Amino acid sequence: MFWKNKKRESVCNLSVAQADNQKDETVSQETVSVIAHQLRAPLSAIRLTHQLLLENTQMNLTAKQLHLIQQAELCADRMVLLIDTLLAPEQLKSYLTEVAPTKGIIEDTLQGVVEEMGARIEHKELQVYMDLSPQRESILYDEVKMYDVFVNLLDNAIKYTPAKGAINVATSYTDSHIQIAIADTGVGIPDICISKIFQKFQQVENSNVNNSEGVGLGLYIAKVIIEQHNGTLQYTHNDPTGSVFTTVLPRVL
Amino acid sequence: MEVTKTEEKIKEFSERNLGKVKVLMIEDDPFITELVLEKLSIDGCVPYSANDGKVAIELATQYQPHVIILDLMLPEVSGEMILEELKSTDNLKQIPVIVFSNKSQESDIQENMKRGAAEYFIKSSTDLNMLVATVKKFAAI
Repeated sequence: MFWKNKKRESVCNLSVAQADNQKDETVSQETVSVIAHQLRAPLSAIRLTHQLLLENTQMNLTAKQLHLIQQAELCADRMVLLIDTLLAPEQLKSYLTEVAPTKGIIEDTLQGVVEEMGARIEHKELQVYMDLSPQRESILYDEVKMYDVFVNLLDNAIKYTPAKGAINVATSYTDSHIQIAIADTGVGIPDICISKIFQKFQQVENSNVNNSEGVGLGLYIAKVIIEQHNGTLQYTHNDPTGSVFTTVLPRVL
Repeated sequence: MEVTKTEEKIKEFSERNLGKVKVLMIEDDPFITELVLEKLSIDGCVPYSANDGKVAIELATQYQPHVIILDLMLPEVSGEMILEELKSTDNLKQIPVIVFSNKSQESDIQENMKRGAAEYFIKSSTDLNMLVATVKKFAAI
């Protein structure tokens, strides 16, 4: 395994955006609402285009092209959900607190997420190692929400890992729990920032990474959803560089 | 002379498309218009479009569409005002209007249904097949 849960010296120039008081949070929510609403118009055009392309057999698209459009549509679908969530804070609350567990296999969910992100992984020439336990036990969890959790974690790993870096997705079982670790060889998070990364509207700023695509909700949402499953989400440094996000879920809710 | 030409044009248009569902789309985004019109054409409808309220009312009066698809955020005259105009005009009020907008608050939906909209689609969540099925359901020809 190329990663270990060990602390390391911070090597990146990072700082955390401050949003400590209620006023800042209100402003952030307003900004998010405006941005989310503006995003709907271009997103509508993208989704309608996908639908027409997928339906119009006269275009003679190859299987590969159709697959890519389907993947793009899945991403657009997720963006709609995200926008809907951001536009309605009360809906965010219910989204976070209402979990609907069904029986499923975490490894299948992880494989689905990695597949969805395949184009971005390929684009950055990242190596993704799927170190999944053969145990593949069926457990109770909200698959839709856990999918979102892993998308957030993998999205961060891709975003903060330089081209040709590596990401490791691993699962392991104990008598009572399943552990899911997503590790990368990216820039990592300095100690000073760690205490804030799971708070709302917090983003780790990095001069090497374009943060404009995020709003600082991903890790907050991930942690709350995992806690709704009576689980934990923790950050540790990877060795020699990068991040490890470790999720621990009970095998029985 | 001009009037006669227009009348002939409308008559010819009506005869040519007899039995087909005529749809007027009122939308100011040309790409969204192109996409929806393409889908409507593929599915056998006869679509045409207007990008502002004045042209929309004129076209609706002349061509008497079976269904109107209406955006809300339009330049000059808003979609809400166009809807009110359509629903208060004798020879237009019977035409079902499907609102097609990215305004997604429950209050937007409720207010426009009260104004007389037959259905409400949020653009970014719209399934084109569902939109066309709804158009055909309301056209009922």
